[in-house]
Amino acid sequence: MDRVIELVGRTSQWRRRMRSDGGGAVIAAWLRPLAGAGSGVVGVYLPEERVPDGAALPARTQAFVRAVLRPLRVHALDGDHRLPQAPDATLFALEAQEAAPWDRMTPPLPWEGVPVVLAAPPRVVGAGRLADLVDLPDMCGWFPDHAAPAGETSAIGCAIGGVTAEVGGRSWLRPLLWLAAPADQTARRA
Amino acid sequence: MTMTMIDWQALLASPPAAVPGRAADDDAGDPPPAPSDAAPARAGNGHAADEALRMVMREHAGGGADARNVCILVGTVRRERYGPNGKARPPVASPLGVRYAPYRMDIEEPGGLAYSMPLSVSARLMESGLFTDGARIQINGAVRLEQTYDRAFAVHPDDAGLPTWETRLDVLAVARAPDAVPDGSWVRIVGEVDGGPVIRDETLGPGVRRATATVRIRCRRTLHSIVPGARAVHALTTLIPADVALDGSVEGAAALLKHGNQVIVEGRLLPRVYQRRRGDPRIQAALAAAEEAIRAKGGPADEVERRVGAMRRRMLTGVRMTVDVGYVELVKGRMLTDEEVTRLIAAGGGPRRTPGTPPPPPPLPPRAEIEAALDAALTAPAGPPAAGMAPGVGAANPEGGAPWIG
Repeated sequence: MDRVIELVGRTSQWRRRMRSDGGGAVIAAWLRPLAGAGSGVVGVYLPEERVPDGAALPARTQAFVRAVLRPLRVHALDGDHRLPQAPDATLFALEAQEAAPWDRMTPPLPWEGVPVVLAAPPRVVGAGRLADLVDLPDMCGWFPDHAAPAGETSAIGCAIGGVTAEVGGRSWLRPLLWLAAPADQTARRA
Repeated sequence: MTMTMIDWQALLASPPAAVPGRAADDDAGDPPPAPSDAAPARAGNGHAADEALRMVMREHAGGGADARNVCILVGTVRRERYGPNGKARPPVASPLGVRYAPYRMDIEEPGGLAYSMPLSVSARLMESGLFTDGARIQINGAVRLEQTYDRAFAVHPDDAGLPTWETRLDVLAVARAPDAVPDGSWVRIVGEVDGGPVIRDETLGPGVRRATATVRIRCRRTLHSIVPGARAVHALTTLIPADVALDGSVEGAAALLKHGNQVIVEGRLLPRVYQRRRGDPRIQAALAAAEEAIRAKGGPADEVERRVGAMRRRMLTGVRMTVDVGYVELVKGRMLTDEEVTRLIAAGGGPRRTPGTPPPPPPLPPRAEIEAALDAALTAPAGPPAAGMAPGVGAANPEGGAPWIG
């Protein structure tokens, strides 16, 4: 899962959050991807020791982010999107290697994707199918259509995203990994 | 409140001779007054106050002390111990390199108020022999507010903890307390009222409340150089929190309710229990981390729940020392009229400071409701984003991006 994903999007304010596993603090922000293999809302974080000066990060602006898929659960702050299964926590899916103001010219490179194993057969939700993932328990796999054959146990994650919903005065997050059947992904690359 | 005795601030005063008059009484064989006898207690405090002022002024003539911020504390010290064998806790080193031994000071006032506060005694001061278990001592110094960190809220080793304001006592002199002087404290502050008051209802009993104002008094002192004749003068400005009852028991209390009034205040130290803001993200994080640690240890379910509940109550309850005002003298400024005080009580305080208690968080909705809302939100994304392009945004780039978008 260490293949680099490049995203361009608008960032929120970078704020310090504490890891749920007690491993210290991270500097994190919410990203709304404009281009690249992302959609919806994606949490991006950096270890605190790598950001001695948090003010240098591009906040509330278009940013170019290079990151790897490494989901991290942190204690949620007021205003964060929370996880339904852990209301005091939220999930930042990407660990950023670089976050810089976007020059409005550099395009993000396509993401090679990541193979994942489904924990259970997908269930139909709206126009697509939703599946739990073995290696990414806090994320959901999302087949955007019914075209993929039923009964598959593995897939290729080809994009990162998240949907949010306001319920009970709080915002709730479902982190998503867009999935494609391995054959579809191979055909797309060809 | 923590008292830290710092070598360069603390000064060992020679044990004062017996309080004048009291020794003669004792020698005459008169029975000592009962501790609850209010009049002798006041007289003893008065003697102690005079003696403390004289001692501080004498020892610090031209130095750091004056009579604008004086606190006297009389109580019993005891070494903090731990473990079943009652071993004394070892000294700890401060960031400034001074080793402190942890003590506590127990104060049992004749009026029934009893409390204990931590006391850090430098190793050098311990050699004085004053700090032995059960010894009654008299501490003279100055109070001030200082920002510190509560380590109980540290969620990882590098975390300093929750920033908090603590009332501290800078110790200027220490002596053995005369037997005739009861436990207690006395504070005298000459300063300026800083900001408007916070008015709150203090519950005295079922359905009986008393309006109490919390104010801050800004005290400016000058600190001269340690070298006689040096011309350098350093200004030392401190803030001291003070509570005053607004039920008419303190004459001139209205003088404390106006910003900028210059006042002389006398009172005593009083521990004030308060509830921390549970909506604070740092407190939430610390509570969650502590709960996780308790649950990780395991055990019977009801025992775990009991420990979690006790931990939450302990961490959400704080104690802050304030000055309980018993005397107010207006030096310069204007005292509020009765009508203005009544309006202020009705409004709940001045405009400058308002209670920061946030409303309680709304209850959590059922998870099924959340999942249903998220399922509905899932139908909005049209499909996987194409390489280099997010779904649904390619055609409309409001900021006029690169040509490869759309």
